[in-house]
Amino acid sequence: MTATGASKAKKGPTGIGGFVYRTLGSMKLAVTLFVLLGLLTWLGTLAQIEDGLWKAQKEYFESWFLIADLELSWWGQPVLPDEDGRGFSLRIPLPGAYPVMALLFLNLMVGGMLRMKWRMRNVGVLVVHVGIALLLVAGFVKMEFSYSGSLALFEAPAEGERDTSRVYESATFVSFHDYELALTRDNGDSVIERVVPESELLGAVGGTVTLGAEDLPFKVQVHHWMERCVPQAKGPMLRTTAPIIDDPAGGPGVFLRQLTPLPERSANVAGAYVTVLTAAGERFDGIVYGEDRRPYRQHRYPFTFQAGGERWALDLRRVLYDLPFHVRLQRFEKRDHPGTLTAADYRSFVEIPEEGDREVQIYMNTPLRKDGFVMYQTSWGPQNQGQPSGGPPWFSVFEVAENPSDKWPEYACWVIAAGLMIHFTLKLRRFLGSSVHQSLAQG
Amino acid sequence: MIPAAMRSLWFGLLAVAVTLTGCSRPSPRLDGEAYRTAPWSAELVDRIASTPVQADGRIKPLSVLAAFTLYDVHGRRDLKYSIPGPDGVQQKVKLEPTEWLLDVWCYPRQAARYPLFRIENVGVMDALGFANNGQRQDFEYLSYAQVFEVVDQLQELAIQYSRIEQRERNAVQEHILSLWTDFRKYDRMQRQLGALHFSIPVQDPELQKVFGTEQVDVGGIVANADGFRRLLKAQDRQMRGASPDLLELVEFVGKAITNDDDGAGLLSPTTLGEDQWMTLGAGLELVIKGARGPLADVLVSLQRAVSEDDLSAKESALFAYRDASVAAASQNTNYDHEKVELETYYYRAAWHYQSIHWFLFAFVLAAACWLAPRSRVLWAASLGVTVLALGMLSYDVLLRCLITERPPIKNLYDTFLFIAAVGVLLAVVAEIMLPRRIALAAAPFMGALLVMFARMFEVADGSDTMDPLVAVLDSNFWLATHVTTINIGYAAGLVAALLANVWILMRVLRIAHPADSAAKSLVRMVYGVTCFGLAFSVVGTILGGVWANDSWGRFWGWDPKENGALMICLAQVALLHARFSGMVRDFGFVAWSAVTGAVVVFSWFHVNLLGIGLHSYGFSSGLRDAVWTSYVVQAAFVVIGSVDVALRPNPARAKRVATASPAVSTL
Repeated sequence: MTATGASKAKKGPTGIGGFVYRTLGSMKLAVTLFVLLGLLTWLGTLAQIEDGLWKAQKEYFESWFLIADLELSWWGQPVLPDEDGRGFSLRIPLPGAYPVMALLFLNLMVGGMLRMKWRMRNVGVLVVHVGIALLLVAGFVKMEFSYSGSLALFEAPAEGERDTSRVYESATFVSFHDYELALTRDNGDSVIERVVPESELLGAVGGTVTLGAEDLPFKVQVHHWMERCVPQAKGPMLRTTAPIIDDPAGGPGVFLRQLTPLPERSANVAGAYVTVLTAAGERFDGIVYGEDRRPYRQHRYPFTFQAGGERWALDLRRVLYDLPFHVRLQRFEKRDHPGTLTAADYRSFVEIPEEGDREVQIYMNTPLRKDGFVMYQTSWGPQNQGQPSGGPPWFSVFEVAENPSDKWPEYACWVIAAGLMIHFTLKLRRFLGSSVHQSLAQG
Repeated sequence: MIPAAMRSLWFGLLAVAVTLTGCSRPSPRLDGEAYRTAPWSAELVDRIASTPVQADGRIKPLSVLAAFTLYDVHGRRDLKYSIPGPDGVQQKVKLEPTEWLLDVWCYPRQAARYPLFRIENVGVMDALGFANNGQRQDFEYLSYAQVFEVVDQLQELAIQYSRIEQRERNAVQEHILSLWTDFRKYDRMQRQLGALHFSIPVQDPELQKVFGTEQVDVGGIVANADGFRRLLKAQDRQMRGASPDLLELVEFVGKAITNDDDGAGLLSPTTLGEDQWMTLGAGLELVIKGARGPLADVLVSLQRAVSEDDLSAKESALFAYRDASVAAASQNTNYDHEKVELETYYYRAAWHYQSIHWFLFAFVLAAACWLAPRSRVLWAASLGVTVLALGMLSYDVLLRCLITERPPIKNLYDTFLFIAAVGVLLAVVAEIMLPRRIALAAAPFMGALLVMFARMFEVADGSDTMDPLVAVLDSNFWLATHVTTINIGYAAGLVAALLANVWILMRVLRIAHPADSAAKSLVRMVYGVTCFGLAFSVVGTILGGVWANDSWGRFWGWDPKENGALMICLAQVALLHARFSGMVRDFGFVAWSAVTGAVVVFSWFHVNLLGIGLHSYGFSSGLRDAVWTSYVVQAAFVVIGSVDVALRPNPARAKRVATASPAVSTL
């Protein structure tokens, strides 16, 4: 197919619709989008140095628009550094990866499938385009419908020897990054829980978010949200601008000391102040702090108060996800390369009580797939020690993910590989048999 | 035109060679007396090379341990110094790594004065209080003995600087930390046999009777372990009533046992199935507890190698050490001596190093082809020599696979050799399909360059290139599929960029007109190699995602290495679409290909310098200069080419292009 051939491709709609159709399907748009995506990828990679993966990902790859900050460097050294040693920065406005990938998908559909001539010589390209489309769809499904988190379990000893402070078995896992504010009411017979996702609390960073419901005898104000902080007792010499929460027992007040957020978001522990205003005109001030210490059993300290004659609790915690089955860690094994502390292999032997204590091994590159969830071996603890002998037992850390498009990229890979092989083999055959090759080969 | 350009090139190369020869600096002098007055015999160096030791998690030849330790602490493949000869004139001495290690073990007082630690920043000399004459030379060497004198100060600075974030440290701080690390590595190596250099006098008649001497060393304790054990058993736990000599001897043994506990394993385990080798101290402890056989022989022969004054006696003890060590190891079912011998052969033969010479020879033949373009003999000779060199390189890669029992690429070093081999193969295929004597020269040029880079990287990185893999990489299936595939994509990207640069060079130097068939052939080659590269880059990138999905729980995580691979795919696919849609003609096409080469370098290396991401098993910090040089060279080609196109557009170009080939290539 030549450029001339392309211009004589299938006749499409005319008028404005036709213009949009041709533009969406044009190869020049494809090239522009490839270049833009490449640029975003490059800048997003560099941004990770300063901002960490999570922030760079949100800014560059999960956004509609951004102003990229490119710090110039030469031989690894900043160009025209300022007082802080930062190089001169270029600010480049760019569309985010969302519109670029959405347009790329449309371009692929219109230009790479609908407008393309469906004939034998194009079959390889068509197959490749189908594979790429499947890949993009898989990415979209993953982004929209997938969620993942962490599950940490201690090796389970015999029934009578279990330590109540440790988690050996669980049917839940927690988000890596995201928090939720849980409001629970304990009326003695049952616990009723309502949760507010972190996304609805973002206004509390510099302002106040008020939460309430008609059936609640109070409103909750969330304010002074801090992405990374630590609770600290207010000593007599300590000055802070953060509110001090008085200790009713007469001890020193407590406040949240703000810390500089780390680039790796999962390493940050968030906190906030809450103010409860009851219908009876009472006011309660407190702190909620999102620390999670799994696999040590949660000794959580929610903010509690009385309202409407009942006892309530507010707790800031990592988002909890349910698993449709229980997992119990029976045993963890780690083998180091001899004479080193570098792990050659580490694996967990888990049991699923619902399946009659069937033992399953989970290790690197071999996850457990069950009921739509996938459990991966990611880490262990305590770190930097050999096989415990009389010391603390091992705990194992898994990533748990629910992703409807789990295997789609693999299928896409085979489709694309087949398409590329067909296309380039056909092209090579044509070229070797052509007069152009003969003339070029002979000079 | 061609002969003139070639003559200039030849004269230029000659000038560079003469300049480099003149720049060599004299070897540093060895201060003080040399205790070893004759060189180690070649036979000893040859035989002891394959003595098995265990370090960094694997069993390897002693020569490999020596080599990578020397690369690491010295930054060179050999160590040179000069000493006064019998006539008073300074004589140069060059030590290979194994010879150096033997000196460290058997002549520690001499080895401590070798010019070892390379100091490239005068600020380091100032910080440690060493006299210097400013930055008059590019670097200075300090000996272990010199650094030892300021070790407290060095340690204090190192602790202070280690608290600063790596990205915030300046060059001097980095250098001080590096010196501290190297010092400790040398110290660790020296302590491996350190206990053998000491002995204690005993006056207690009972002890003299047991050991048969008044001066007891580790070898004596091993040789008389039964008697020593009986003596110890006769004591109570607190050793009340023990003679002062016995108490002192016990203290000596305690120190000898722990002196090298962070060192390499020199002694094979005696328990079947055990895979951790013992240090000398651990072996001594075992012998005192009752172990005999080759283990004791190893210790006794090492003691002799250290204690003997005469060089030939030392050598004979070292031969005995080697044989006893192999015998001890061979009793263990986990030990495969053939593999150790194979690795020894691998490094001794150095087929990849041999290939450099043949690649260069092939390049010279290819260059001669340009002078005599009608010579089929020269063409065939160049191609034949290139294929021969490729065979050597491929055999080298094959040997690595056999030794490690892994696919060709396990780490960053392997990528050099593999990409060189694939790149040469691609260029050879391109030359056979379009024999224009361009890929003929590009193939050996790329082969020689990348293998030279491999050798530079090997020394600069200073870590064993066959080290065992971290758990996540422990998958021969994925190493053989994803890693191999993506690196074939890298190779194709680099070959395309190299050929694209040749096109730009030919245009700028007026060697060929863009409408000439030679230039058109080049564009065809770039196009074909790019298509080939795209296929492998795309499949390799997706396979990487599939692997990540099984390892880390996500197909795509915007990790820098993943992003680099994606950027290559995008650059190549954009290039092909731009070509097909007519957005770029020949110059735009080759210029874009050249830029894609820079993208390959970014993905291959630069992301490893960023210090972020999950692919930290490939991190290296000694590559910054090479990476930036490649960017600058690449940018220079594109900029000069663009300026040439802008300033000197050929009036006949449009007409000739229109008749020579269609404006748009078929896709």
